[in-house]
This record gives sequence, structure tokens and C-alpha cells, in this order.
Amino acid sequence: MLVNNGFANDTESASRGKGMPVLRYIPTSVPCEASIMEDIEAGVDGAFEAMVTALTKPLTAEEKSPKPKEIEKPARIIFKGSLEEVSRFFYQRGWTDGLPIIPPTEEAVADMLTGTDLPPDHLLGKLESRLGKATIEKIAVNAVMAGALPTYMPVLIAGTKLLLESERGFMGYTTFGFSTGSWAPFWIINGPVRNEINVNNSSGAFSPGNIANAAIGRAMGLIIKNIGGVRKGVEDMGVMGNPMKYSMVIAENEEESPWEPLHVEYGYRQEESTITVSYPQTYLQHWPYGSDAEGILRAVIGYIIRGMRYTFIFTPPHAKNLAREGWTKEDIKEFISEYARIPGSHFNNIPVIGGARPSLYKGKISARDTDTVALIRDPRFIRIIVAGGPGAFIAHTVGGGATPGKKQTQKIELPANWDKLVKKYKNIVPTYAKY
Amino acid sequence: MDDEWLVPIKLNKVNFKGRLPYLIFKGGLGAVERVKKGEFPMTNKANNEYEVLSPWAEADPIPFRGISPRIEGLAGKKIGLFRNSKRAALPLLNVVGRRLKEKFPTAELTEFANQRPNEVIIEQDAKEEFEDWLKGVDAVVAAFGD
Amino acid sequence: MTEKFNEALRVLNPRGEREATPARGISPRVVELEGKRIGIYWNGKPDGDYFWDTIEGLLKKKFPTATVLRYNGPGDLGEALAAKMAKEVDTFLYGVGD
Repeated sequence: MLVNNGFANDTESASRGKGMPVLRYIPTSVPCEASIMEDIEAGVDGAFEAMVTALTKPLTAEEKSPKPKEIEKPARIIFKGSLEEVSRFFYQRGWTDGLPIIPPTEEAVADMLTGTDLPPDHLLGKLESRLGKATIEKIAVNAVMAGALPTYMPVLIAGTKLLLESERGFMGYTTFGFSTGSWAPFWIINGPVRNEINVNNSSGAFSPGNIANAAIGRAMGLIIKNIGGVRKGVEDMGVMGNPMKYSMVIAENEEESPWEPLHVEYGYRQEESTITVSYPQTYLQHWPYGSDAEGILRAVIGYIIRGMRYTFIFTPPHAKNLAREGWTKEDIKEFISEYARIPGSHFNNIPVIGGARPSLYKGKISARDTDTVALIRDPRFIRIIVAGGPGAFIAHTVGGGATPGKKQTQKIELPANWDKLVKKYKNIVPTYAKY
Repeated sequence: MDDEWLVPIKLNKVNFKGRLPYLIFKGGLGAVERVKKGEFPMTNKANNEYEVLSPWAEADPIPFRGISPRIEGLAGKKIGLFRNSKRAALPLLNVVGRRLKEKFPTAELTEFANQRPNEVIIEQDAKEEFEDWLKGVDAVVAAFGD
Repeated sequence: MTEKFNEALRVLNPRGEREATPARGISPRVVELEGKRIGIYWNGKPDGDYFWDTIEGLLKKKFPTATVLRYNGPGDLGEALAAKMAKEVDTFLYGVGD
């Protein structure tokens, strides 16, 4: 197998994970996505002899029959040390996001487990890529590390289920959790739980400063890393990385939205709580051209970039203006997918994965250079939510996400003592002194 | 300048030789105390020990298997060139093919491409076609681009 | 024995120190708006001019003998413009658009 030399660790991890620890692979100097023949030829020439040897040199005993892997049973109590030493120990084992963690002591984890009725050894599933067992206790350990409150456990359990039940193939977690594209999990929370655990949906909803928005995303990232075994440069081959991987969590402002909330669109009842995931690569913001529907929507289509799945976040005033002029969420999605267009000639230099070429009308006619082609082929690739503070900015997230109709939303199940838990933690909110 | 600030909360001060004034914040918002010049209260180092649980999940062992036996030389052999859908894999294998033919003119080359990104070929409808192709080759060179 | 993270730690204040800003009151009010020179300042944010046009219309309707003077500039007026306006108006309106 020929791979780029930067992917050696990834190749070994992937082949071990599929049961082939002794794959004969040849790292080459051919750059990723190379299109310069000189580079490709040089890379092949540099690897050719090794390739022939790999095909012909007789197998060693280990290659014929590798030693079986021992059952992995990491110690439950892994370390004892001071606050500083614990953080450093975890960091040096690649278990953190680089920031200090809250030590997951027995007591702290037991406290976190009050956020769920499920027993600590309950297994939700085995999370790719190392098929680590996602038990409730392991979720709680990572939740403590992230600084989560026990009332976030139902959300984290639902989020983990979403990852476990993600569609296989290109549009699921097994691509976006690992890809060179550095796609970050973006979690949208709907339903009553938003306000019960104080997930910010108003001013600065995406900015740091709210425990729920910060810790839920952070905990999910640690779950992916420590349960799924997805590490930077080994399994997570994100080239540039993505700051949204620290945390990208928002609640929809259902109270001030003129439309039905996201989870109701997806068939849940208003009074149910849900979490929905997508995997944006890009986050951008812009002004509208005016505060009327035309000013808003023309600005939105002027800022569409190439991607696969989109979420548009409108502030309550913009949403109300759009609704006042008769625009529903569906109208907006159809408008954007119809009118965000680029010239067909634009695709001449763009390599398209799988060989598909841009086309017109359900793929029936290939686009010419003189045609304009929709950037978003299907309105179902778009989500719209209402959030944000006072002010006139519109936000887009652009990246990956589920195939329409496939799993993208998970109901949040609450423990029996939920009301009591909420009461205990509801008032942990920041207050700001005047100065 | 007056060093002393009004404080609603008293701190336990310990005399400590030092030069810089030190600001301690304890208690509710706005509760500020500036320590007099020349005094350092004793500060805690967070040196209590914590026994902590591992965040690293258990995983069941995956049965390992070895790799296919090797061929003796490439002359006269059927070599399969397999690629994924990423951009550089095809031109790379084209160069590999040319070099193989230059060095082993009697080798026969055939190709197979997995056109569906990030989907394993044996989990697709093309599985049978792929397995038939595999039966017809003696060795495979695979190029995985990204 | 494991411990919960609940030992009391004395910690330093992360907030920066600052000089106290001298507090001052606001300008004396006019008793009424009839016959007065009312300044309106627009900080240039889009559509703010429409907003102030509407205010001007309402003021003129309600206080026909008042004079409305329009100004615009950056968000921070600066000393020179503030001094100029102070001479030319009896009272003024400033709105922060964004």
C-alpha cells in the first residue's frame, strides 16, 4: 500500500484497528492531493524498489501469524497526584485538549453520575475508531475532566449515541471525526432542557463564557478522543485543525423564533429535548444588506461558499422580519438553494470526488461553462435556527453532516430526579459587576 | 498613594518577607483587599493528592490476521492496481504502472477503483465485482490518497 | 482514599487593576423643547439616517418652533465637534446604532 509519508501513523492505526497489524505499506513523498506530475513521479521513483520488495520478499513468521492482541483493560484508577500533576499526566498521555482538566476522582465521577439513571457499567456501544466501550462511567470521567455539571450527562449520553449510530460512509462520523478537512462537531440543543441547564442561545452564544456551551462541547471532544481513540496526527488527520473542536454548542432560541424549532421540523414534539449534530469546517458571519427579507436573503446568498451541509443562524429580529414578509424556514431553504449559484465554468478546475460533474435539474443535463450552477443542490442540506444577541449579524456554518433522512438528531432522555437536579444547579450562572 | 483599601472580608494574614504588594480576591464580587507593602500572606499550593479515574476506554481485542503470501518476482505476474477516490491516487498508479512495465515487461496490469469516498469496497454493492477482480490477480498495489 | 476537589484554595484575583474614572453628572436639561435648537447626531451606521429622519419629523410636528440640526460623524465625536455642537444646540440626541 502506497501512502503519503505523513499518514504512516494513521495507516498503522487503521490497519491495526481492522485486525492487520503487520500491513506492508510504503510511505511516499507524493504530496496529498498532488497534481504536479514531477512530484508524483519523484515520489513513485523514490518508493519503487521498496514497493517491489514489499510484493516479493517472503513473509516473516509474525507477518504470517501476528501475535494476538491482549485484552485491553486500562487501570480504573490511573494516577495519583496533585492538581498540576494530574493535568500534566493526562496531557502527556494525549487525553486532553491541551487545557488543564478537573481531576476525575471517584467522588467527582460519582457526583457526575447523579445526572443519569443508567448504571455506570451500562454500555452504549463501541465508538470508532478503536471501538472503545462507551460506558456511562467513561462518559462521566470525561465529563468531569471537561468541567461539566451533572445536569449535562443526559446531553452527553445523547450526543454519544448520535456518534455511535451515525451513518456509515462518507457523510457520517467515521469521515468527519477523522478527515483531513478538520470538521468539528457542532451540537444544537432544542427543547426544555436548554433553559434548564442554561445553554446560551442569545448574546455571544458561540463565544466563551457559559459552562454548558463550553463543557458539553469539550466533553464530547474528550469522549471522541478517549473513548473513540481519535488523536491528532494519528487518527484525526485534520490538516489545519479547527478551533471549533474545542467546543461548538448552541441552543436554539425557540421562544423568540417565529418558526417551528429544529427538533419539531425533524418530527419531535416541542416538549421533547434533543441534540442535533453536524460537522462544519467553516464558520462565517456577515451583515445583511438591509433588515428586510430581501436585504437579509440577498446577503445570505452572497456569502455562500462551497460545502456540503449548511446551518444558517438568524437573530430573532431578522427571523421576525422574514416571517413578517411571509417567509417560512422551507421558503428560505428553497430560495437559498435556488439562487446561491456560481458559473458552470467555475468547476473546470475543481476536482470532484467520485467523478461527478455539476449538472442541471436533478442531474439530467450536464452544466456548461455558460450555465450557473446551484451551490446547494438540495434544500434539505440546509438547517435554519434562531439564536444570537441584539445586533445585525448572520452566521453560517459550512461543512459536513448527515444524508437527509439519516440519523442526525437524538432525543435527550432525562433521569427520574431531573427536577431536583435542575433545581440544584440552575443558579450556577455568571454575574457581571458594573465598573 | 494610599495602599489600604476598604475590605468587607478580613483575611488571615501571615507576615512574610517580600517586596511587592499582593492582591488577594476572596469572597463575593468586589471584595478586594490590598496587602500592605512588605507583607505576603501565605498562599496555598494545590498540593493535595487526587486519585483519578482513567478516561481511556476499554476495548475488546480485534482478532489479528496475517497478510497474504508474497509472490516470487513480478515477471509474468498479474498485478492489480487498486486506488481510492482521492485526487493523486490515479496519476500515482499510472506512474507505478509505467515503471512496472518498464522493469517487468511481461507483467500484466489491471485496475480497480473504489469511487465512493470513505466507504470500504467490501461494504458496497461492488463487493462481488471487487472480489472477482481480486481472484484474477497475483498481487495488488494499493494507493490511498487524501 | 480519593478526594473530591473541594479543599478550600486561596486564589489570586484575575481582574486587572484600574484607575477610578471620575464620575460626573449629565448636563442640565432644557425645561421644554419649544423654540429650542435640538441637535441630532448620527454615528453613520446603516439606516440610522432613516431613524433620525423619523425622529426629526416627529419633533417638528410636536414642537413646530424648535429647530432641528443634523450632525454626523464617527462614534466618538471628539472634542472639536462636541464643542461646536455645544455652542450650536440647546439639547441633543445621540443614538448608538449597530
